[in-house]
Amino acid sequence: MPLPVSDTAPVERRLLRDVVYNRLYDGILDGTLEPGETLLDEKLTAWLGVSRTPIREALMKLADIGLVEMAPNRYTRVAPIDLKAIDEAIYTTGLLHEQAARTIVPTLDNATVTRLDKAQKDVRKAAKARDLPALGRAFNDFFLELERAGENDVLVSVSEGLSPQLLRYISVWQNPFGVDDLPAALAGILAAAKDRDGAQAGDLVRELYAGTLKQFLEDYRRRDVDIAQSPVF
Amino acid sequence: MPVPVTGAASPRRLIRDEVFLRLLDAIIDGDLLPGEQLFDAEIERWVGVSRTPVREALNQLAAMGLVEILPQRRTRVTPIEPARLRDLIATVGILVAGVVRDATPLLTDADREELREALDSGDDAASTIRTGLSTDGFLGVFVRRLDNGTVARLLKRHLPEMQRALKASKSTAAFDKARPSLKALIDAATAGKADKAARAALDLFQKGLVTIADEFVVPRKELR
Repeated sequence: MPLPVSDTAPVERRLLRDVVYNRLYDGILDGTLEPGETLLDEKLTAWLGVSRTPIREALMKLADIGLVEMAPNRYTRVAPIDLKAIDEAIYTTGLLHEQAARTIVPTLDNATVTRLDKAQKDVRKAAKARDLPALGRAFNDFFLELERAGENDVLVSVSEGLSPQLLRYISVWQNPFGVDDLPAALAGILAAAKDRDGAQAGDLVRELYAGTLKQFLEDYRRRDVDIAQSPVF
Repeated sequence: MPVPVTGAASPRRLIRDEVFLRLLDAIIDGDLLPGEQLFDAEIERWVGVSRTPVREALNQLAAMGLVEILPQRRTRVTPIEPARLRDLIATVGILVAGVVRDATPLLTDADREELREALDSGDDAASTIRTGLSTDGFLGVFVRRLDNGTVARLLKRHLPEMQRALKASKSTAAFDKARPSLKALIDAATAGKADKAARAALDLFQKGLVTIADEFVVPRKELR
């Protein structure tokens, strides 16, 4: 719902923060800013040519989605690559995408199917060219297009918040997704989407992401005694 | 007069958390009402701390969707919007159903015992379900057993916004609708039927609790 004009923050300031946010976001995901690299305010103000306030605001937003770590009075740094956190985030993404497929696919309009078709082709092209960053983006776009068609803003924003972990995964590519399997997996989901078969699409998404749970249970989940000592919830 | 913050090793952090928890509880319990305007000075006096930790706590609450900050203008408790509430309940339901499905095969005997007890806790359907959907309730059993930190973090972030709407609800209709799904969920999970338990979890949210959003529909709200 659009807010009344009088309630919005000053435009210049909001834009500035978003520009800084996007530059840093891209810099972290393409590796310009390396995992673990310390981010000094002075260096960022010099690099981006803006004042401290929009930089701090952008950094807080990046900390929120796990791309930046801030320890007050100690350091602000690019979050190191954490395979466990990445696996957990992709698993969680899978839960959202699976359910989105089940509920949204039956009512998809043709325009969305066309966009899914394009994203699937982009995935195929990127896989063939071994262009991993492009592959990650196209893969992510495929599912975000699907979710946006469901018009649940909270679902989309939670998924978008998890995207960076998925996109970061491409820089340390290994199990559970094989580069060559992705185009075929998405082609199957796309075919189910074209048939408006939500159950089939959901089952295929679940299958696609099943490896993340398997890997989590094998490599990352703690023993029950450790869980009792320091529960996550 | 704000209390000066000096001394201890990392005092700001702790005070910020203290302010955050006080405000969080007040919003969930309805002591601070949806749409109510918040004034820094009042909060400073109420909690007895300076402006910086208050602003930090408010920023944290804003990131959770509980507070709206319009720079240079005003800060208020986010009003309850039916459309947003429906989206939120559906999304939390998806996460919960996923956790229920994948944690069911991991449950211990003690977990199953705790789940059965959870079904009988609370004086009525509303309190059974509100407690159930917290770290102290059935949800806590599943989330802890799965041990996925990302799901836990997302639920910690989004549950309070849902909880305050459940608390603000005047009717028990949604809870009465959700109660049979809770029983089905726990019966299936304790019997090791993961997919069935997950379906019941989805129903609990998407057929039961979501109807609570209708209570917050008003012709045209002007909360200012």
